[in-house]
Amino acid sequence: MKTLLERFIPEARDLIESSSTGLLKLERAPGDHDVVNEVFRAVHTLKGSSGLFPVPALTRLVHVAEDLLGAVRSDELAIDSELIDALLSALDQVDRWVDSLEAQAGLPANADGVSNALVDSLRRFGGRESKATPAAVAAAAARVSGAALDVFSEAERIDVFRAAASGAAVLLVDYTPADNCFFCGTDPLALALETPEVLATAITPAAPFPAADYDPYVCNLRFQSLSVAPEAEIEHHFRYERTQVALAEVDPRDLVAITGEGAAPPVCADFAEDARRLLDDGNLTLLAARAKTLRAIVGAGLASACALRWLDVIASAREPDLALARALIAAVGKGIYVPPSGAEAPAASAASDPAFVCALQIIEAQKRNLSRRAFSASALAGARGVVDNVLAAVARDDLREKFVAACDHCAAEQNFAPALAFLEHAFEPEQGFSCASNSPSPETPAPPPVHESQPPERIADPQAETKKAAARVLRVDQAKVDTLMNLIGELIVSKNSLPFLATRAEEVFGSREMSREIKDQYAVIDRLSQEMQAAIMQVRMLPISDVFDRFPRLVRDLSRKLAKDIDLVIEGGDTSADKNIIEALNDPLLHIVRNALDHGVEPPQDRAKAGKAPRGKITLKAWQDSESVVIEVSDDGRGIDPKKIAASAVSKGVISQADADRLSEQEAINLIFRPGFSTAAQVSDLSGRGVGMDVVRTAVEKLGGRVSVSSRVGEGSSTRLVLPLSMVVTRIMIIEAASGLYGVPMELIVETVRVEREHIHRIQQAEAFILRDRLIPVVRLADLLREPARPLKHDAEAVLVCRINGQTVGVVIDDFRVGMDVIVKPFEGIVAGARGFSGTTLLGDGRVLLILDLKELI
Amino acid sequence: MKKVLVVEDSATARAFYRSTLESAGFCVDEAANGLEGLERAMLDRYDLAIVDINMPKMDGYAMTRELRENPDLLSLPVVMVTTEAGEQDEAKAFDCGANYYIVKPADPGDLTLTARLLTGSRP
Repeated sequence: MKTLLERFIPEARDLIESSSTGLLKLERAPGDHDVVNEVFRAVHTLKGSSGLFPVPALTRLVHVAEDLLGAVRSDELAIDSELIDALLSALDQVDRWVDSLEAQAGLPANADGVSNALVDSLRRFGGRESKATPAAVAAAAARVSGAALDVFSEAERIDVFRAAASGAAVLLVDYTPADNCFFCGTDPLALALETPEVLATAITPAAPFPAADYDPYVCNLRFQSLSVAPEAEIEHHFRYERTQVALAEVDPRDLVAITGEGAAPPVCADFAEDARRLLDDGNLTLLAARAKTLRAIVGAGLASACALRWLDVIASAREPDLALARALIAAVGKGIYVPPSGAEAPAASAASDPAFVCALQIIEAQKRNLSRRAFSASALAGARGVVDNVLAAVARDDLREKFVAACDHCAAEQNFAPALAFLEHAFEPEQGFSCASNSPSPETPAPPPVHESQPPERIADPQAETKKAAARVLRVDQAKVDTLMNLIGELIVSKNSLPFLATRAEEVFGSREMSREIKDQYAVIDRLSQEMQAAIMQVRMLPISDVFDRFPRLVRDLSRKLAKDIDLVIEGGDTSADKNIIEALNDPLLHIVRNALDHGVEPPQDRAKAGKAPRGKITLKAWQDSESVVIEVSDDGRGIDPKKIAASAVSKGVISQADADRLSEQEAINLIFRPGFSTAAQVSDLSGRGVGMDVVRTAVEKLGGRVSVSSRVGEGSSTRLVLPLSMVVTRIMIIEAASGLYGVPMELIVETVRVEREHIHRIQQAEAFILRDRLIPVVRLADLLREPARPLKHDAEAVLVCRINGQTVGVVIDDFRVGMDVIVKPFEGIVAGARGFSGTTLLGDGRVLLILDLKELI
Repeated sequence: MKKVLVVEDSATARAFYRSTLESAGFCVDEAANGLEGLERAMLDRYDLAIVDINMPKMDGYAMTRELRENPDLLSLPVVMVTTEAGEQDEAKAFDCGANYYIVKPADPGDLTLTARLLTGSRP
């Protein structure tokens, strides 16, 4: 069943997700029947699938939710926020249970209690209960297996069996008190012993007692009792400990257990033969008397004696269970007890054949079908096929012929009557079906469960089956895709060694031709590996809706909490990006949206004063822009006031007053990205818990992206994240500086220019040059690295124009080299904290290249 | 080997039918909704169809009704799967042309037995 559970978990999550989304839509548009149907179907499917697993608490809850949705669907129940809230919290609980199913393959111990509470809260809304209890829920008070009863002694079992034989339903009450119950005023022993109509109680340790460190204040007991009281009465008795008690129905047959030594004396075998005949004749009185006589002479420790004691109990019952008696007689004779599996009708053993029961059910269904409708040739054809198949399956060719004849009559008379008459009388239970053998052998009271037998078709071509099993979609472990991705990354990097090889072929070995051929091959491998990378990227791509879909719920909940009225508009959810990017986006986006909710959109009364519509709007938008994904969160709120920001920054000591006066509006707004900055006048419940936009910026930059904010006072603000589509392979430029080679991530580089020495101006301590009418400050990489500058190779300085933290900076280096795709390995071990470098990469010729972290350096 | 078509929108339930029926010696094909099921039933010959009621695109009732429009598929045994046992459901299933119906979640033993009987194979 494990693989089934593995399938269920993702399916359940999808269903929960889609029903939650649907419920949110319904809140906005309660009359949308399509959405109601969609939600109902999702919940219905969830219920159906959950029924395959022993999770009654979950199934019950989903079932009640389905009932409510059914009532909504048939317009018996109106949708309001309260109902949606209740349904959403039920779904949230189910979601948590699915997590727990995934983690520990079962529900937590308190699931029943939680489920009951949620069911009660849902039932308050009314709704109708479904016409019939579905099988899954009916089985909620699960049946116990025979082994669970081992804690009870034979005498106790016989007592309980007698009570059950007189018609009482037996419940196993499994009560495991909480660890700390001694401190809660509970007396677990008294409570267990006072269970209504209790017939037997067994006390065992809940967990093995530890050899050392025994804590007498912790309750480590488990009470198992058998009671014949009604379930409701027991529930009432344990009403304060409801979650610590499990109730299960006990099949009286499971009480029968045979213990003792196995070998049966010959006298027992003789008895068994006699007893079977007496049983067939229905002479139970004589049977009981014979059993009593034999008991007196058989050693009490033998299994046969134990079986005799049980046989006595059964024979003296008001309505003796004949199948059980037969099994016990066999046990007396052989010393081995095989529990009976089917119900035995008093007269015929054929009725205990599950194939017979099932065949009869199918035929009954055909009778119902035909008798409730007017004649139709197609219905006749259907019933004819089905009945004929059933008869063929149970090898009753004699009946098949008769039935076919009856059907021909029907067709001639345009009436179902002949077929119905045949079906009514053809099957007498005494006759049975001769599917196995006509008389089942007396030793085995019932045939073994049918589904375990293997038909000859089983030996089939296994390949054919696998072919059939191949689905169109593969679910692959993420780790496998990641491995493939890394391997392709390595391939891309190692192909970089070919140009070096080509150079060596020419320069060292003097073979220009070889060099050219290597270069040709390089071009081929380069193209292939690029294509491979693109292909694997496609595999890893996820739609951004994976992140966006969380927000409708969040915005709804938070806006209600803030008493604001806000619409969330989502656009471009189908834009896709690498899975790592999508996963890492969650928190930054959450923060930005919270900010928009909390600080951006004004309360309705303020909006009215400002002449805006009372309902605010937040837009989440995503689109692809060449190699990047752009995500924009915008609101139509009050916007960011640069003056306030500047004033706040001064008061917090982030910048000086003099600096503040010089700032442009945009520069002032950018102050919100400075560490430790928060504009909210009061720290609110939602955002501004000391985590500012600087956290967002750090997170986005870690992904290799940029974040920017634009705003107009009174009109709203928008935050834009620009992220790379993928982040495994980085494009860098190799540069020469201070007698070494370094790598600089290409995404930072705006352009490369050569600037004549005299065009670099010294202004006080700093240097700068003018590029297309803009003054660009200049730093020298050699200075930053604290290395001596080298004499100039050219008359012009090589300048990398970079954009760092929203500012344009010119970085003077010795020379530019080539661009290259690499995998940047972060520092590990003792150099993990190295500042100024983001990692290393291997060059094609085996050298290690340091990748500069310019943000850190400047 | 007898071929069974399972039409069911839940992947979990499909996996359940597949594993149960395959281990009983049936060959199983899957369809995720009524439309797909109809398509499969038209394309291939099956000995039995097990059809869920609640499905997207086309539900089990509509699918069975459509199925019976095709004279070749009149005698294909169709078993409907409902989550609730009630006379109304049975009547509706019969009216659409289904031959039998079982209640979800089916017991693997009962399911196997039903499939064997309806396809005329020895139980």
